[in-house]
Parts: sequence; structure tokens; C-alpha cells
Amino acid sequence: MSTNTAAVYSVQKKKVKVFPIACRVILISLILIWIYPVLFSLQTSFKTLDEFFANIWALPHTIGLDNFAKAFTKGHIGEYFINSVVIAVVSLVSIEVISVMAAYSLARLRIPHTGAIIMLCFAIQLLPTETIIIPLYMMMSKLGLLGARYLPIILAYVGWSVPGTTVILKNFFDTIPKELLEAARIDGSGEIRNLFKIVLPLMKGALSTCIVMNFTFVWGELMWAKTATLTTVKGLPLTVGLMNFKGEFGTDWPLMCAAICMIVIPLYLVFLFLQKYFVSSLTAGSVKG
Amino acid sequence: MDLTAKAMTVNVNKKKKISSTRKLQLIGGLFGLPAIVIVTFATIIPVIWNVVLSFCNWDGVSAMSFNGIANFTKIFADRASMKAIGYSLIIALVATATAMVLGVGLSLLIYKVTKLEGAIYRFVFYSPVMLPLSVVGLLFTLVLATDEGLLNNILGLIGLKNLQNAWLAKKGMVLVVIGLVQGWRSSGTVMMLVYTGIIGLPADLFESSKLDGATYGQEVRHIILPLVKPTIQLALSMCVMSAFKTYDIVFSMTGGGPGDISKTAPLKIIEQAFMFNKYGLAAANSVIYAIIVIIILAVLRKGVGGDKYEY
Repeated sequence: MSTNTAAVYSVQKKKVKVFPIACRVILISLILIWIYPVLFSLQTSFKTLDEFFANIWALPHTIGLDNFAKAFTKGHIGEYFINSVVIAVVSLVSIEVISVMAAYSLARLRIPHTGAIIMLCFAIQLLPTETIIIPLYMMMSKLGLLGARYLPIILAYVGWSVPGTTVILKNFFDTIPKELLEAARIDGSGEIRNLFKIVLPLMKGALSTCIVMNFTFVWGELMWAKTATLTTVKGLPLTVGLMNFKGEFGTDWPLMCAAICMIVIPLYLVFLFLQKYFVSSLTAGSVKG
Repeated sequence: MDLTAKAMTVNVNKKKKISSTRKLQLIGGLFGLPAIVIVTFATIIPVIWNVVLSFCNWDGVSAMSFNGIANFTKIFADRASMKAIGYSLIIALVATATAMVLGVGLSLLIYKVTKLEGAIYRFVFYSPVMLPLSVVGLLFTLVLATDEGLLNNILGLIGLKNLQNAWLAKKGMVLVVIGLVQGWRSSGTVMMLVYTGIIGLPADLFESSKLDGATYGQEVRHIILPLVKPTIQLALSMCVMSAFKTYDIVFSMTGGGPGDISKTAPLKIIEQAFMFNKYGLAAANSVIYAIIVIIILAVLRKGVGGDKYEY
């Protein structure tokens, strides 16, 4: 009997020792699945097309940057990149300024029906974008905005992102003590000064979180960007440009890989340094869900 | 005399307070104005117009004409449109299931390794989330291509040639594959949320179970999963919401083809509107799609609710 329990015990002990190893084996093999496609496309991006078709596993003969240069000039990736940067910067600045002001007024300026306004923001978040883009396209075309470079894309991104960002920022504003503002008001400080000199410095973290969240959306959006640039070839953002690129050079895999790497590697670097904010943007974003 | 003076000052104070509230509200209104203008322009008016448009017949050039629910009956009678919605549902289902299983599994595994290791794993598993869906799609067309694709070549290399497949060209298969890729990308979100949930659990819960000799499997089943259920639920609704955004990934991977076998609802809607200029029909289709998505979200929120534990 006692040997029996001892045996059971030792089996259990053995199991416990096996578990951490099994755990790591699974995790490391999964990591390979996660990063191998990116590494493979990096390797392929240095090859010529002939090299690639001769043996897709072989290492490149020379580390040539021909594909990158070609993607940059012939594939216009550089131009698309600049377009995307302009769109992202203008959108993000507008979203944050507008949302900060709206959130501040909701949280601290005694606006009535705050609850209802927040509910409306939630509801807007739930609607699929498909229900918006057709009329929005018609409105923009009636107003003659579609010909303007960047503008139709930026306007939509700002309008779609402001409600969610406002809700998140309002929750952060709520945590700032009212007394701080009352004191400032008694000292005769104006509201704009209150907002930028007193409240915002306290909210750097929250604001960075929102910027990262909005950036992920603005940088990656394809459906509206594609729709809004149906009639023009100017000011295409990276996502749309990449699809055109695929249509043009679809079978030239090394060139495609160079284009993919030019987008993915900077993003990984950004992510490496800002991971904290990416994670907090996730939990902050979940407030709206 | 004294009393009236006091009453007067109180009154004045009150008035002052009211007027300062008014003033703040006025400033608040001004501060909120840009947000109201842009949100009204970019979402509220379009959404309302979309509903109006769905009851009208319009080719974008001639005058709009009201035609009742004809658009809706047309969509329900049109096999291609219904199929497109079905395709979207399949992709969303596969993507959500993949993301939840992978994400919860990963978080449970990562919880068991040391801190530094865990940070590396989390970085890697979360990284696809910040890549644009279209780039993920492009990367995976390279992985899944029939002849020169990575997966088929690996299968050939390890002697599993009979498993090689035209991943993105077979009916049914293409939807599952796209769903898997989308789920793979979202699994990072689930992993991160559930992991933060698990490390938020009080440590003494585990101490007593360790004393009782519980294995990790038992701990997971009886302590961790029931307690992080609210987080899992949250992750689930976030996943479902993103899983229905089937435009980007499908467009970048197959463009709806070959033929029509992966043409999901968003692609169909855009085609109806901007290729065939049937704006009313497309609007009706998008309204139906939105209603389906919202119903599913509501059912999930009600159905998966259940009991929550206090700790």
C-alpha cells in the first residue's frame, strides 16, 4: 500500500519535471511558426528571381539590395510610405487634439447627459464600417473632396476614431481630482490653460496609449483607403499601394518580399520600443468592447 | 435687516455658482464642437443616409427613387449575396475559434515559464497584432502559394507530399485557411488579455491548491479558467468584432477569387456599389450584414455570461 502511494508520488513528481520542458518545446516550436515567415521573406528579399526559383531554401549568393532599390523606385514603395506617414501624422494629431478637448468637456465641464453621449460613442464603435463607406463616398464626391490628396482618408479616420478615443480619455480624466481644477479656476486660470498646463502633463501615459491604438488602425486600414482612392493615383497610402504592387509584380516573389520587409521591419522596431503602450492600448481599448 | 442681507448674499452666491456652471458648460460645448462636427460628418450622417439609401433605388447619377423593401427582398433572393454573407460567417467562426484556442493556450503556457522568457514569448506572439492585416495577408500568400509557397515546400521536404494542397484555390478550403490566418493574427490579443487576467489572480489561491497536491491541469480547470472567465468573455467579443472585418485580409490574400469562392460580404457590398453602381442594393446588403453582426455580438454577451466568481 505504502509503496503504491510512493509510486504514485514519484510518477507525479516525474510529471512535474516533464511539464516545464514540454511547455518550452511547444512554445519554441510555436515561436518558429510566428517568426519564420518573416525571416524567410527577409532571406528571399536578397535573392534574384532566378535564384529563388532554382532553390527556395538556398541562402542568397550576395547580400544585394537590388530588390529594395527596385521596390523603392519602380514599385513606388517610398512614395506610398511618405503618403502613409503624412496621413498618419495629420490624423493622429487631429484625433488626439479633438478627443482631448471633447473628453475634457465631458469629464470636467459639467456637460449634461454625459451618460447618453458615452452610450452613443459605444454604439458607433459597434457598427461595421461597411455601413458607412457608401454614403460617405457619395458625400465626399458631392463636396468635391475626393480629388483632394489625403483629405478624404484623413477626414474619415478622424471621424471614426474620435468616439472611442474620447471615451478612453474621459475615463482617464475622471481620475484627475476635481479639486486641482477648482483651485486653478479660483486662481483665475482659463480652461484652455487648465487643460494644457495642468491636466495634460498628468496624462502622458494615457495619451501615448491612445496614440498607439489609433496608429495601429490608421496605418493598417485598407477598405476605406482603397475606396476613397478609386478614382485617383495620387496620395495612395502604403496599404493600397501594396495591393497595387501585388497586382503589378505578383509573381516576382523576391521583390514582393523586399516590399513586405520594408514595412514589417520598421514596425517591429517601433513595437520593440513601445510594447508597453501597445499592451495598455489593448486593455484601454477593451473598455469600449 | 441682518437676515435679509444674509439671504441676499446667499442668493448672490447661488447665482454666481449657476452662472459659473453655465459658463463652464458653454466652454465645454465649444471644446466638444470639433468632435461633434467631425463625428456627425463622418459617421452619423452616413449611417442614417445608408439606412435611407437601403430603401431606395439609385445608380449614383439619376434621381433617387423610393422603392420600399425591394432591395432587401432582392438581397435575400440573390444567392450570390447570401453566399457572401455565409462566407463571412465561416471566416469569422474559424478566426474566432482559432484565436481563442491559441490565445488561451498560449497564455496558460506562458504563465508557467520564468519572467524574462515569458516577456520574449509575449513579444513574439503579440507582434502580428500590430502588423496591418493587408501585410499579414500578403506574407501568407507567400507561405501558402501552391508551387513556390513555403508550406507546400516544407511538406515536400519532410516527405508529406500527399498533404500538399492548393490552399488558396479550393472551394471551402480557402475560407478555412483565411480564417486560420486571421485567427493566428488575433490570437496575440487574446493571449495578452488572458495573461494579464491570470497574473491578476491572488497568489494565495494557488498556494492552497499546491498544498493539496493539485496538478497544473487541475489548477487550470478548477481555478484559473473559472476565475478569468470575464476576461475570456471580453476577449471573445473583441475577437468576434474584429473577425467580421473580412475585407482587408480577404482582399490581400485572394481578392475574392479564384472565381467567387472567397468573395465575402464586404467585398460583395463594395462590388455592388462601386462596380455595378447599385448603391441602394449595396446599402441594403450592408444593413443586413450589420444587423447580423450586432445580433451575434448581443447573443454572445447574453449567452456566454453565466456565473462570475468573487475572489
